[in-house]
Amino acid sequence: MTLLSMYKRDDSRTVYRILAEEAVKHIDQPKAGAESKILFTSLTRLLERYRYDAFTYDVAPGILEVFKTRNDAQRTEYGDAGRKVSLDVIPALETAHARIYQALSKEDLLQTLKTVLAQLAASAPPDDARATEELVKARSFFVALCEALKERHT
Amino acid sequence: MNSKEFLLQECENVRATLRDVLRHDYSAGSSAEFYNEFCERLAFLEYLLKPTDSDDVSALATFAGELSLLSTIVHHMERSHAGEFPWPFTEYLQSLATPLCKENLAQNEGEPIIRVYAEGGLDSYQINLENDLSQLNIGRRIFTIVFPRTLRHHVLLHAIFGHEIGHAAWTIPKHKADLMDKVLKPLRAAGPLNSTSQATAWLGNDPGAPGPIVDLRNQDPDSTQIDGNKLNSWFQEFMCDLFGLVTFGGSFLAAHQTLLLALDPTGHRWGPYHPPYICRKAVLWRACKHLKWDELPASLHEPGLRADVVAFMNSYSGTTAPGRWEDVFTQDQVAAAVEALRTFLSAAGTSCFNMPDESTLSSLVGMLTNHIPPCGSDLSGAASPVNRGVDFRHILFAGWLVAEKLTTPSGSVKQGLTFDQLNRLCELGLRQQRAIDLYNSTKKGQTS
Repeated sequence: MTLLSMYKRDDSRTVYRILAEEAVKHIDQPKAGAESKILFTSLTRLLERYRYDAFTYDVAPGILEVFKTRNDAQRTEYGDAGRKVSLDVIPALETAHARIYQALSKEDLLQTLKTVLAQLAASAPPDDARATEELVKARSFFVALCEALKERHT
Repeated sequence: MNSKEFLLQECENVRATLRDVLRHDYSAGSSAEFYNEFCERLAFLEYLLKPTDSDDVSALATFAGELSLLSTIVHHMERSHAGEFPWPFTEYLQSLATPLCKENLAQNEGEPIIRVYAEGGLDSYQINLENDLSQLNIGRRIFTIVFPRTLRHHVLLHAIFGHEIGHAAWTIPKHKADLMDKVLKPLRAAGPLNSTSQATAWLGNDPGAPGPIVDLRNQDPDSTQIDGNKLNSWFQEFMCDLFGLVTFGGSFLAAHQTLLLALDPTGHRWGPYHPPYICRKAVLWRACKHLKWDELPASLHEPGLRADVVAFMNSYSGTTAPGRWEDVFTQDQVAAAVEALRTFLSAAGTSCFNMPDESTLSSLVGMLTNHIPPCGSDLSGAASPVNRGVDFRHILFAGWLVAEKLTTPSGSVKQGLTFDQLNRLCELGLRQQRAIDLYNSTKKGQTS
């Protein structure tokens, strides 16, 4: 028996609230290093999931799962929470999308924000008015995402 | 000590453990890749944790989960050190899996980290997918592949990992969308698994079901209910079986049957994630037919080799068509899925299995029957031997052809070869082949 057992929960609003807050901080004060690398990678992954509507936890049971009985409790799983859909972050993303980029499709939203995040990761300041405008919009998107996640938190 | 203070201390503990893990040897270059990745993850976690308010319990709970996961993976990395698994096999496996597991998130993206370690009993073959959903702290994705400790050297059985590669590809959202649209769509278009209601009726009531299925229905009627999640899981398993067949070829077919029937000799049991084996075998039978592997023997000139291939196909693909109940897809459905998968793999940069030519296969089988590690070594005795490239999957296929002779001795295999020794010969062959490949690629680089 483990020391403590708890029902698994959907952490998405906490995780993505933290990441969105950090994105805003990095836009305001760009910094290079491991922190920004992982931050931007995680945010791009989130946007990829949004683009492809892929908000389920992936589970790969052992190929011989059908025969498992005794060892189930000992099996280590990497953060799997069954097939539960991560609910909280989806409406928050939809809200931020509608509020800031209402004219863009999910695909275009992904490409736009990927470009901005890549520039931030490279610590490259915006080189023209359009790039500056995109950066401002991206900041607004992450602020809106953060607010939407906080709203659902109460 | 409050929660935040403890978590900061635990970051230091994980860092110390990470340094400790480096006391082992790992395959060339691989310790640096995971060490750097974990250092970055720890740095990111500490960066987030330090300014966190001690009353922000949601954030602290999230950080605790992240840290626990990190230390678990560090422990798994430690168990993947050299000597614990056949590393040449793993390097070949990585060459197939890495292109598929790349996420293409950024231009200078690091490659995914794919590691192998031993754990548990016969049912432990598995891939652990590091799920990025609702995880703060993942730079490069880490996939760990687990195999039973007792089968450490059984590279012929490790062909089953072809199935696990499918699960890994499924975690990339773009790949998943492509696979659902191109590979699973034709399979889901018709047949008894077309919907949850049809599938439930087929599993629970179809009068054409084999006797063992009827027995299992009676033992546990509730298990015949197929909901959306179960059906999706079953289709994912069918797809991953096709992944295994298309990437590893004949050796996957043999490993699949050997392992699954070893634990369920009836081949009829099912679970929430996996359909009955007989249905999976039926899909593979149709896939082999589409790939024209059943026509391979007719193309071989050497009678002994032809007999070996016939015996192999009879054992692992089957001599007759699947029964009506378990034959859940038509030939056209499976053909469309296989072709879509081959196209998908090629686009991703993963090479599909192609049957070896007769000369290569004959040479590899000949080496094995004489207890020589099978590979492209030039054994002619020439003053300047010319060693050649051989696809590692052809070595495994040759191994299975010879394995078939162990159970039905024909006198052509030198006395005393066991399945375990055969695997070790193949493992040595892979190691030698890896050396040849490295030498040849270096030489090629020098001339160009």
